[in-house]
Amino acid sequence: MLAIAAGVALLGTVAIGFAAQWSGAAFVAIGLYNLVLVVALLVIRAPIRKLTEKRHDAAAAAVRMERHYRHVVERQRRLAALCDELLPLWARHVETARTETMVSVERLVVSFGEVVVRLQEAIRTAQISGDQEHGAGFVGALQECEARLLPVIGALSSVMEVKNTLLGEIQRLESTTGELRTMAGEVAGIAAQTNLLALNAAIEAARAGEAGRGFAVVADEVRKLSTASGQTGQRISERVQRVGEAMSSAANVASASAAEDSRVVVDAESAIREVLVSLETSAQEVIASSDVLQRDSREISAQIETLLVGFQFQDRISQILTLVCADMSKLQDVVRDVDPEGGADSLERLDPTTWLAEMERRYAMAEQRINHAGGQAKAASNASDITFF
Amino acid sequence: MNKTVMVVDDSASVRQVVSITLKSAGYDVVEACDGKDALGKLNGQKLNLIICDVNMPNLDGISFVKELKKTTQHRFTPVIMLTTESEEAKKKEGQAAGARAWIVKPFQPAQMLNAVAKLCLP
Repeated sequence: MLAIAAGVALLGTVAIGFAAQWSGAAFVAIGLYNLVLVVALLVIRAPIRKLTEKRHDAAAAAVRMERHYRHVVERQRRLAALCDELLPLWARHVETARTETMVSVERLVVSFGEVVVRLQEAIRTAQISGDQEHGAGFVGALQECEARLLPVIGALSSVMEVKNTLLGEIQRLESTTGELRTMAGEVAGIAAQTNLLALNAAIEAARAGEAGRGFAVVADEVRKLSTASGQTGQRISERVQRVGEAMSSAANVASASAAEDSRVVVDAESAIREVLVSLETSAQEVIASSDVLQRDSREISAQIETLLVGFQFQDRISQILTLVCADMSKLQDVVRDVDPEGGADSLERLDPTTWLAEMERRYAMAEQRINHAGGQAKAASNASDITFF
Repeated sequence: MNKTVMVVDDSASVRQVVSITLKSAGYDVVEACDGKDALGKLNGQKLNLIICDVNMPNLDGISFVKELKKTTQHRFTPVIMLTTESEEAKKKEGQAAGARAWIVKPFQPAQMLNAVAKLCLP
């Protein structure tokens, strides 16, 4: 390499010297100068090359650093832009979940309170209905009815027995009176016929004169018998009179019995009315209790329906928070995994538009879409949305 | 004999609420936690109706209904979708898959029972 350089310098010097018609000394001096210059250039060439390479390396490093710096700055800018978009959105989602939780818990608390109040009322109503100590219970009223009606029935039976006995006695006396009247009639008839016969006999005896004197005696005796018969009839009449008095007495007794009957009937009626009023009162209480229980049962049922609706908010809140948690986790992964030396793909993952579009695609509820659009969704209403196909 | 309704939902609390509502109205209930679980419980099961969520792990509700309609035994079993999803596009997707009704949560028990009574097979 050194020989080639020296040759080239010598040949160059000779060529220039001949062209410029240099002297010999000038040839030698300029030739040596060129030779030294060429040698010097060849000696410093390697360090210069190394310096040049180092300069190129430094420039490349500066470019890389600038690119990295720009990437980091862009990453920070996009991260900040993404956070500017994402954090308020997460905040809205979390706020929706918080509001729905608060509202549904308030509804649940109110419903549970209502259920407790209704149950207490139902228990109190049941206690009042079943309270036998104060005689207001239906069973107590029935027992009272039994206790008061049984003596009434006994009294009525006793009265009926007395009346039957009395009736039998009167019927028996009526029968005896009839017989006596018949007998008295028969005796009166015999006496009248006998008297007539004795009168005829006395007439015949008088017509016969002395011969009929004996017969007149017989006729007189017969007339005496007739008189006796008449007296017997009189006695019969007297006995009939006494029987009549007995019957009158019996009638009086019967009348007194009727008065007693009336009193018993009035007492019985009064007792029965009281019992019926008591029964009616108890029945009304039972009906009123039943109405209260039915009303309370309906209200408890409605409250439980509200509770069943309230419990469904857990599912809605879970969906909102699950999506937010997944998105937070995704951001954490991206921040952790973004390659500092990465290119456009790396930054693309931090693009807010792409990120939010992906998030929106995963929404299920109207509230999430409202939040995404920048509004603040209210807690969902309890009204069912049903579509039939 | 009581009618039987299958309830498919990944949320245990929703399954519980739907089951309580149906049982209180005299229905028997079979529960499944997602579409895949539901398909596994279909075989030999006599069902009068299915109530199904949309967004579920393993097999979502729409895909489950499509699979259901391929079966011989249950192709005519009516399905009610019960979901928080309220978008019209999703509803149309459910209708195309073969669902008969779409109820957005939260549901009123009385209204859901009306829909069940209306669609339940005899």
